[in-house]
Formats: sequence, C-alpha cells, structure tokens
Amino acid sequence: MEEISKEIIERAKDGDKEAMSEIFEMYKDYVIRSSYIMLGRVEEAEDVTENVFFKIFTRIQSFDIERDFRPWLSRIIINETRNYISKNKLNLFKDNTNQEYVESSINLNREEIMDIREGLKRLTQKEKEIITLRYYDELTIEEISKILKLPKNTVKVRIHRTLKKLRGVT
Amino acid sequence: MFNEINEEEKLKLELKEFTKEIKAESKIYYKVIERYESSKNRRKAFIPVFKVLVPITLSILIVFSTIFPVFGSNGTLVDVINTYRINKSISELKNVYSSPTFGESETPINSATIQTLFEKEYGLNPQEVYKLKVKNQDDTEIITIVIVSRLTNVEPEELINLRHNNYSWGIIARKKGVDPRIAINQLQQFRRKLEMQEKTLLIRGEVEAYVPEIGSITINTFPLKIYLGENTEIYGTIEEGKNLEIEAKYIIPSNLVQAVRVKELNPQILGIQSIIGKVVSINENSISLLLKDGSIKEVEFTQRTILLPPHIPLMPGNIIRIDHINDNGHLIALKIIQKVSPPNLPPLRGKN
Repeated sequence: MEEISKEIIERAKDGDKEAMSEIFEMYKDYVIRSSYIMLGRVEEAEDVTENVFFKIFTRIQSFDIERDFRPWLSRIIINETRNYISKNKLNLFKDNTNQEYVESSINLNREEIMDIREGLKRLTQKEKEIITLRYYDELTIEEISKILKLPKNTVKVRIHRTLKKLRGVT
Repeated sequence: MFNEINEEEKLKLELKEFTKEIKAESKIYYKVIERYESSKNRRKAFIPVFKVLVPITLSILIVFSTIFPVFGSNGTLVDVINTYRINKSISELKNVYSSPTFGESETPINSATIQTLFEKEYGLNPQEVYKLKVKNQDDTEIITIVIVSRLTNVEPEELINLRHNNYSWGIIARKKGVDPRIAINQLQQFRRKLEMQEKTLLIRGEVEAYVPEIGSITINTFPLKIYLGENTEIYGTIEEGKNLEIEAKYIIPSNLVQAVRVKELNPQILGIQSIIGKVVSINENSISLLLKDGSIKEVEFTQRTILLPPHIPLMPGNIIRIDHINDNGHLIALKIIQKVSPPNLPPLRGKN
C-alpha cells in the first residue's frame, strides 16, 4: 500500500478538508476491510470505519510526522473495534454462529471461501486482531508488539498458534 | 504437514481476496466531517468558558488549600511546600554527611565536625550536644533541630517532641514562626562547612594508644590517628587510659589529623559520669549495675550508645564501666566499656 505523504498529513493537521478527504480516499477500504475481518459484519465495519476516521481527524495534531502512519492507523482500528464491541456489548466469540462474513470474492472458489470463513469464526477477538495486523495490515512483529503491548516472542507464538487454529490444524 | 511460510503467504492473498468486495462508501466521509465540525464547534464554545472557569477554580483551590489543612497531617499547601523544601536541604546535607571519602571513617569524622560546629558556632555546651545525640538517631535531624531552635528560641527538647509526634518541618516552621528560607539557607551553610577540605575537630575520649616516638595518639572515640606537631600546645600529660580533649585540624586530601591543642579532660566537667560495676540484669533498653557500695543503678542505653569493644559481652556477672549523662534523673549511657586493668603507661612526649 502506498504510504501517505508528510505534506498531506501536515495539511490535515492544519484542518485542511481536502487533505482529510485524500486521507479518507487512500485508507477507507483498508480500514473497513480490517474491521470486517475482526467483526464479520459489513454494517458494523462501516460504523467502526466512521469512528476510526473521526479519531484520525481529531487526533492527527498529536501525530508525530517522523513516525510511520500505518502502525498508528492500525492501532486506532484495533482500539475502535474493541470500543465498538464493548459499547454494543457484542460477544463475537459466543455469537459467532450469526457472523456471516457474507461478502465474498469471485476470485476465490467456494471451498476456499468456506475455509477462510469457518477459520475466522473459530478465532477469538484477540486472535482475529493478531491475524489482521499480521496478514492483512502486513505489519512487522515489532510493530504488532507495540500496538498490542506484548513481548515480541509472545506475538510470534500467538501468530503461529492462531494460524494453525485458523487452518484447523491442531 | 503444516508449512507455515507457505500458509502465511497464502493467507495474505486469501484475506485480500476475501475482503475485496468490501468497500467503504463516500457517505461515511460526510458523516465523519459532520461529526468533526460539530465537535470543533463544541470545543470552540467551551474554550471561553474554560478560560474563565479554570483560573477561577484553581485560584479558589489554591487559596482554600493555603488556609485549611487539606493535606491532613501534612497541613496546608504552604506547609507541604515548605516541608518539601526543608526536607530537600536535609537530604542534601545527609548525602554529604554519609558519603564516605575514606571508607567507613568519614561518618565519625563528620560526627566530630558536627559536635565542633555546635559548640563553636551555635554556643551549645558539650552536655547539651550529648543529650541531643542520645535522643536522636539521625545527626542531620539534630542539625535541623539546632538550627530551628536557634532561630525560634524554642528549646530543642520541644522540637524533638514535635518531631516524635510526626509534625512535619513545614508545620513546625509555621507554628514556631520560622521563615523556611532562613532555615534552608542555614542548612546549606552547614552543608558547605561539612564539605570543607580542612576542618577543625574537637575530639574527646580516652587514650587507647600513645607512641611518643612518632607522636601519634589513638583516641577510643575517633577512627584515625592524631599526630602531634612541633607547634602543638600540650597541657597536662598524655597517657594511655587518660581522658583528653584534642582540638585538631583534619585535612581531607591528605587524610591527616594534626593536633593543635591537647589538654587533659575531666569528663565530669562535660557532665559525663562514670560508674563501674557488675551487670545484674539487662533488658531491651536498660542495664542494671551492682556498684562497689552495694547499691544498684539502672542506666538506659540508646542505639547511639558506643560499645567498646564493639562486641563486648553484656551478660550478668561481667564487670563493665558505663560513661553516662544525667538527663533529668535518667542516666543515659554514652559508652559501655569492658573493664580491663590499666596497662603500663609510656612517658609523655610534647611540651607542657
């Protein structure tokens, strides 16, 4: 994914709507898809996306321009997804029979779609977070360890374990 | 077999394909901007209110906490600040006091320096200093007590009682009308004197060893040898077992203690009495001695009582000597000394 320019961030810090719009266009699908992997429902992923961008625009003044934008964004997505689950009292793990993961791609065959859907349903919220950060957001172990506030080795072990659980390998 | 590397790459592709059809609509952006504008307006509306309310509230809180003891036993805000400032100076003093320049000998040297400064600069007599010392564990606490006592004309005993009742220095300064700045200034001056490279020391004690050939004296209360020089004034005789008062110069870089004036000392002049007797009983903080005349005397000891030698066996039946002071009828031990027969004394060296 293309990294956003510092100039756009600087303008957004000054409250420039055009810059905000550029940030939205650049990351909107990335944000909604990350949330979707963790929540399993498009409507809820849309709500989280709205909250994530609201948080980005109100907090961007405190963002250190010398740091990478994507780990900061991933942290906001994780936090807003957690807030959404807690505010709406969702219990995704217990309730996962109702999770639909309805959207599917035409490029995956039916069996593959079923595999990934069933695999995600098996995961707890924390496991979905780690899978999203590693395999969808494609963050490094170090970046994930900072976002989740976990030691790097713990992150590695959890990724390994979760990957096997997702694939149904015990 | 589960091939993790392949599975990782495969999962990345699968997740991308799996979510490919999920797209965020533009309406989300408009909702976000609407919320953003509304929150900005709310902030704008609150800022003037905050600008007025925050300083007023803070002022009320500061005035309130300055007048009323909102910090419980620590008193008012002013007391807390003053306590902090005084404690900071005490702590700096403590750092100087307990930092050994030449191993463990530095603290007894500082203790002698304090004794000298109290007598020469604060006009306390030795007995007053001994009394203060036996009642307090911490020499830096005594320094503060003496400084505040001199600034307020309040007896040190009263200040000691206040401190034992957990009154902070800030509260004591307010109650006794001391300007904390003056107290802090004096504590800093005291610290500078402790830091001086050349110190005058008043050393009092019993001669443990005297070597006339090299002119060195070892006193039982002081860790370093004291050397007699050509200009040393000597009044009386120097003999092992004899009590002396030595005024000396201690030069830190050379770690040398040079006697300026040596004179015989009658400990009783300092208010120090000695008794010799057999230990009858001993408990947590006192010892009973059977004296020659058949009477029994009870002497209290504190954590500052010196034991000579340090591991003297304090058991019933042992004969010991106790040097003590009389504090309003209470006998308080300064030194407990194992009783030994006097050794052969070498001849005196020096001038009379």
